[in-house]
Amino acid sequence: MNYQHMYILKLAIQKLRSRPGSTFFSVLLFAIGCSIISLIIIAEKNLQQSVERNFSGIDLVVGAKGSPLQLILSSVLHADYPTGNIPLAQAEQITRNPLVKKAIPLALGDNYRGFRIVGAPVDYPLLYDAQLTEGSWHNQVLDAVVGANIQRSTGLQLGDQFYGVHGFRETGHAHPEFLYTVTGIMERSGGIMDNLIITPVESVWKVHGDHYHDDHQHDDHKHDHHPHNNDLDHAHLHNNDPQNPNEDPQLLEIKEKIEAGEDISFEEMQLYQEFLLQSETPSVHADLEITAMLLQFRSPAGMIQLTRTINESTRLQAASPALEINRLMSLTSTGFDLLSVLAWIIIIISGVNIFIHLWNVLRQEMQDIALMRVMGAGRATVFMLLLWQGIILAAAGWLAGTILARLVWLLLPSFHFMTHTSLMMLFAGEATLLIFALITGIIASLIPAWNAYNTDVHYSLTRKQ
Amino acid sequence: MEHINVKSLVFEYPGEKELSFADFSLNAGENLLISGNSGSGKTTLLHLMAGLLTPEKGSVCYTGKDISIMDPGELDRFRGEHIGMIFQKHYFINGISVLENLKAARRFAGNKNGHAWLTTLMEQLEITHLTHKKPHQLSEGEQQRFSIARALANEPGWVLADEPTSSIDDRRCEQFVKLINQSLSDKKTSWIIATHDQRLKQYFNNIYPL
Repeated sequence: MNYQHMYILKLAIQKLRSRPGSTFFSVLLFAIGCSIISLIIIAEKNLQQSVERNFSGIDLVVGAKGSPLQLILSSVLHADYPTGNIPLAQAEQITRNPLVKKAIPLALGDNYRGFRIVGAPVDYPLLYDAQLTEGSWHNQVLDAVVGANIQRSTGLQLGDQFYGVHGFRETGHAHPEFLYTVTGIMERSGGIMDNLIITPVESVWKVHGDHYHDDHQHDDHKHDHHPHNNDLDHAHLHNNDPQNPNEDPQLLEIKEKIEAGEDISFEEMQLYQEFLLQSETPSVHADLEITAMLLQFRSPAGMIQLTRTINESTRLQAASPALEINRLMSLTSTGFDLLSVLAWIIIIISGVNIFIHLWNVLRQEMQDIALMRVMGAGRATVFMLLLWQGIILAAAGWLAGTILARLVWLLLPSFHFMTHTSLMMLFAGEATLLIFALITGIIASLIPAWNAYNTDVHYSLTRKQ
Repeated sequence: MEHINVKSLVFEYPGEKELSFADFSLNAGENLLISGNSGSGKTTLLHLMAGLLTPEKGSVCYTGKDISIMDPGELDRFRGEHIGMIFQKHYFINGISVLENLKAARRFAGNKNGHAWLTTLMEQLEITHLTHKKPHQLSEGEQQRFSIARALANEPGWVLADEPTSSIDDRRCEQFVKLINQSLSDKKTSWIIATHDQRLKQYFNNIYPL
């Protein structure tokens, strides 16, 4: 860009600044349209990122019957109420299936100052690659590891004690007789762990003795499998000792296929799972309940088979996070699409407004244009002067819109599973929006610019005002 | 070769009678005063000479270059580089200061620098203290002096001025004449002035009556 073009650009800015009222209105109108689209882009991107971050490694969630989306939202994103509790013994039967690679039980029920207390083994935070900034993972009943946001928000420090409140609201029935002790603080990850308090599942059972299980029975029971060194052993899912299938040649064949990593049919899976469910393993956890169980599978095929088996043959519900979130996304995308249409209408109106602004400028400043021509500015120069003004208005509207969208996003009541980590960056959709904004600015200024190009200098300088 | 040569110039506004202008020419170092009553065609002649109007017939040549056959881009460049104009009404680029207006005259003609010359010019016209004002903040007399400064900003070979002294007092009128003579001697700028201001007649040898 040579100095002449730079000078025209500078002059265009000066001209716009000399009309602050109409310039502000034009930019504001454009900004409103752009901010709505930008907000949609940010929301979609954050939702997508949150899903990717928070669903890592979870193939299936097993919980109480009810809405599968609610099960996913409550157990994975911790954004809804659970569908209910499920017997631990039934959950254990599912985990005996050799296709299950990893099973993580979750027990929900309480919160501390609005942050959920989640009963789960250490595997749970490790699933998200959570790291500790200080302290150690929960090891004993009523140990608590707190997320980074909680530490920042509540000021909890290592060794601090606190008690939970029943439910997920700050106000509710408190459990002051059961004091949690902070043993670890997690590093900020930008994911769900930042907003959770992790404690052994046994802590939840202990606090909710009457809801989850009877403590006395628990103390009295006998373990045939292995000795329990401490209370935490209860949370180990007993998934390695089903009844011997070797007595049935068909079951043996299925078992061998599974162990060899071969595909099995749905009927075979159903048969094998029914065998597992019917296995009368003496359960040590007859009265214990958990809220949900997160499962990882050895193969995707296994997940599909087992999902059908659980949903059709048990009182439990199995839901796939990927499927449910896709459903949620398709629901939200309809709303987003409607908003997008509205925003584009506003942008088109903004474009018309820029046209009117520049048309008025041209009408009122035709003599300026004529004078510039007298001073040696060519037709192309005055054309560019008007075009630049349209481009600047659109670009400023886009810039103000993207900033406005971020401010609105920060002020909106946030879902704690979403993060604001990516607000400082420009999304691809916003870059595309900039291109569309510039095109709108150019189109809106083309007619005024063309009129400037064709200015009759003599007429403009001699006409009566 | 004459500095300016106007030959067989004819122009007609739509629906009005044809205007014919007598031939004239100027040599280097000469000024010209075009005198005549209102409506006699003074402004039209100046605009024809500036290439703002296209004649029906005839030619306007500056040092042998006929502007009536130049394409619009070439004409804009030529005008910007070689011709300064003062209009009867004081036009400015609105929204920028009067100093920026002077700089614009140089920039549109392709001259980036020349601030020293502008300073000299403004000192001569006693407008230095007004440079950062917007055009609408100036009195008519001050606007006229800035119009004169803008016409000379690009150190043109010719200045075409339409009633340049209509809003200034006798003292400033004398200053203006002094400036005309100085620019003629220092910058070789020839002035073609259309006016009915009797005060100017005494200072011009070449008078073109309309």
